[in-house]
Amino acid sequence: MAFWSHLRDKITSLMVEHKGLPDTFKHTPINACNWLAVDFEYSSLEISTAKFMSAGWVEGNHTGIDIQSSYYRLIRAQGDLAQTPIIHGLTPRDIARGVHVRDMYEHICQFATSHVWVLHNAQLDMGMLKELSKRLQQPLPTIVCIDTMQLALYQLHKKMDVIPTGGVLLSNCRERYELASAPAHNALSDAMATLELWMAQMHSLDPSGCMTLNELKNTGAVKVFARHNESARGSV
Amino acid sequence: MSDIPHQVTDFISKSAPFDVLDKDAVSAIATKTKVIYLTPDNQTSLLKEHQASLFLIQTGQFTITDENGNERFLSDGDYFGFIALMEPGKGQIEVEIDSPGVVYCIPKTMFDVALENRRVKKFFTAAKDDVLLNQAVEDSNSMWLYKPLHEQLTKAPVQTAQHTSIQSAAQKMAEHGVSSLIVTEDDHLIGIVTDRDLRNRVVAQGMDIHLPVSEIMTPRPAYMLHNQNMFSAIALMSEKNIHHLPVLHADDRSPMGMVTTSDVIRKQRGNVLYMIGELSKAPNLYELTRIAWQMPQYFAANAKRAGDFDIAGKVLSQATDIMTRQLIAFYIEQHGQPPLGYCWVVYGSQAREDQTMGSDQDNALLLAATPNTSQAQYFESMAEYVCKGLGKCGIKLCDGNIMASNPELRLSVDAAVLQAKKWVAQPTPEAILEFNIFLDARAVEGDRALFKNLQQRRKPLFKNDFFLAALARAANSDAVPLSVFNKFVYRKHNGKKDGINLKVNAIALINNLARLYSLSVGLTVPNTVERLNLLGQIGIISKEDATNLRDIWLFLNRLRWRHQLRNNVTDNIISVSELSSLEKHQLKASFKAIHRAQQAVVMKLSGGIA
Repeated sequence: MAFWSHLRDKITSLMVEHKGLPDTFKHTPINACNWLAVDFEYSSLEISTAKFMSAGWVEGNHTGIDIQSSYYRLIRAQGDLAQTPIIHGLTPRDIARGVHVRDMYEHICQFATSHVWVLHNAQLDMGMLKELSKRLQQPLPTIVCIDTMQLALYQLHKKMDVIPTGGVLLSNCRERYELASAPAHNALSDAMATLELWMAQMHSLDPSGCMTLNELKNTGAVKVFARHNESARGSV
Repeated sequence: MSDIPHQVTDFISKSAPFDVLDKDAVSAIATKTKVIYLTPDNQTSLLKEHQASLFLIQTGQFTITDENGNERFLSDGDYFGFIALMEPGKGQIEVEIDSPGVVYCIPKTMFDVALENRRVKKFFTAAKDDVLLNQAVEDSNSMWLYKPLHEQLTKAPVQTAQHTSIQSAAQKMAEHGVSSLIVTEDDHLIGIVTDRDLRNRVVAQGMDIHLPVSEIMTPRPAYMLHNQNMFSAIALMSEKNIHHLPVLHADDRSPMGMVTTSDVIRKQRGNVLYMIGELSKAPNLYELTRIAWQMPQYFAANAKRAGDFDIAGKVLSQATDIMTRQLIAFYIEQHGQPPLGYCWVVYGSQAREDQTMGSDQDNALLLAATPNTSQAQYFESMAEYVCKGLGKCGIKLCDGNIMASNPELRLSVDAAVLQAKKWVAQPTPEAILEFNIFLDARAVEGDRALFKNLQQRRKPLFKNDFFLAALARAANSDAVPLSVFNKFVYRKHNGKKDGINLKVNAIALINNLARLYSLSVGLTVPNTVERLNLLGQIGIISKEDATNLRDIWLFLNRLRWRHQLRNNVTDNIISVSELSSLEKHQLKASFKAIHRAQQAVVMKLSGGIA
């Protein structure tokens, strides 16, 4: 846990998590939201040096997950990629064929206002995205996120005092809902797996789907991110 | 790299029947698929939203009720909604969520495209009509071996009377383009003449061609009956090393045709029957055991295709029959002719001809009368010699001592009938466990009339309602390994958690059903496939049910043999993870059908009291 605390502190120092939800989402029942499950793979977990290796996302709403909306791109990268390509099964040629990170960034930012993003460990991914926005000298829009890992922690804490090691790993969280095992280390597969997990979590939290995002905030899983030098566009 | 999550294409491509589609077709389906998490609260809106879809369950448990109020319990890998897509206006269902889960919604447009594939269409048509998909059995290259001979005879019998001249007989053969001729007396078979006879007995010896054909014929030839199958014909031809086998009508023994080795060669692509010929040629016990011990390796090397597995049990049983006959012949050679009429009878898997590598020997001696001391000694010693000899040949001695070497299994016909009367009088569950094996019986050597006599006298006893009801209840006490939600119920085996005992929990259940119905109408054939064929023909069960059960039996047997030969084991416990997706579907469908058949037999023979 020390590793995660350290990482969280580092990320938080760069990222401001806004307390307020934008007006557009404040009173929206969860079953009326559009979801964008997102995942990235990085060359390392060191925020200042990490490079984006790939990005994957998929959209969903109350009618289900739309496979046609799936997006997966490798990010063109240069320099030392440490061990990452091996872990992700990518070859230098794959990586050379990828898109420029700016294109991916611009593409995903289009979903900021229309979708609530769903991530497993949002602090990490949003911290990385924030760092990227600085590097690209691009504004980072306000992004409303659901953190399925945070929600799992909230649910586990209600049942037990000490969370077992690995208890909130995506695969373990899915197992608790008897979801099928999914391949790891692929951004799109993880995004899909996260969105399925979120749907199962939603059902266990609020079967009717009438709860609003605002009401869900007490779980700690609803987060609003924006760059610290920008003002939040909404507040509760 | 396509933008589809791997797990989506993986799941679709591993779900039969979509596993037959190529990668592009699966990707096209996956792209258009919506994945939902179906819960009691959202099911109304979601099922309406996706009403024009095929639903494929990935996780969760659901109860589907059709228009007629029939319930089906579905879980991972199962489909629903396809009937409405295939027959508009039909297939209205109600869905109850027993446990929420992930369901793939494949839109009708993509389903229709997939249906253009013959195998996909066949799968859903079979599922719609609730019949087992028996494509695997239809595709079998050995099904012809199970068909009765009369269905396979292509020519009317070419025959001539015994007084016909050799020349006229030869002219008739030339005229019909055949290599053999049936010689008759009053239209009954008394001999055959072949090309070889004309060459060796006429031309080579300069015999007068005006002499009657009976001079050169082979008298009293081996023959088959029209309702026996091709397999038995081939086995007999291999055993006796003959190339022409007349086929007679079972009722009046009138000639119906001729089976020849060239007919067989035309059809037989593999040759797992080779072993039978080799065993028959063994001149002594040493040679017999040497050949017999090669059998497992021979099977492993030669039984590769599904069709080979279909006949493997028969080949092995025929081989055991031949070993038995050979051993008896060796014994008689050494100890002289039997002092009393006898018949060597086999039970259980050897009688049914579904032996596997793990089967042990089950046999008995049936005697014409109660033997005196010296006669008893002769048969005791014969039984001892044959049972031990079979053991040396690799056919395990029976743990339960169901062997002719056991004095209790060397009964006279009268004593055996008395024994059957006792079974019928007190069919307790414990007693049934003991005598069940004796209800599948077959004569292998000796005076078959003794066995026939026993069968005829036991037949009316076994039709007793009380007895049949007790058997029906016993047959229902073992269940198929399927939970109420259509999930396999596993047992641990060899470190694997997903074991299923195909023998105890499936094949034996069909054997029980076939035996029960056969006893109820006095059918004495022991083979399950033949029993089912006959039961369907005489209408004891519907033809459709009979065919379905037969196909299931063959399918299960095939899985069992493949398991034993691939893994070089003798157990019957398969690991479900080693099956293809289609096989898993078929296995589930098979179990469901067996369960239904079990319920039906209880209703029919036990008044519904299980």
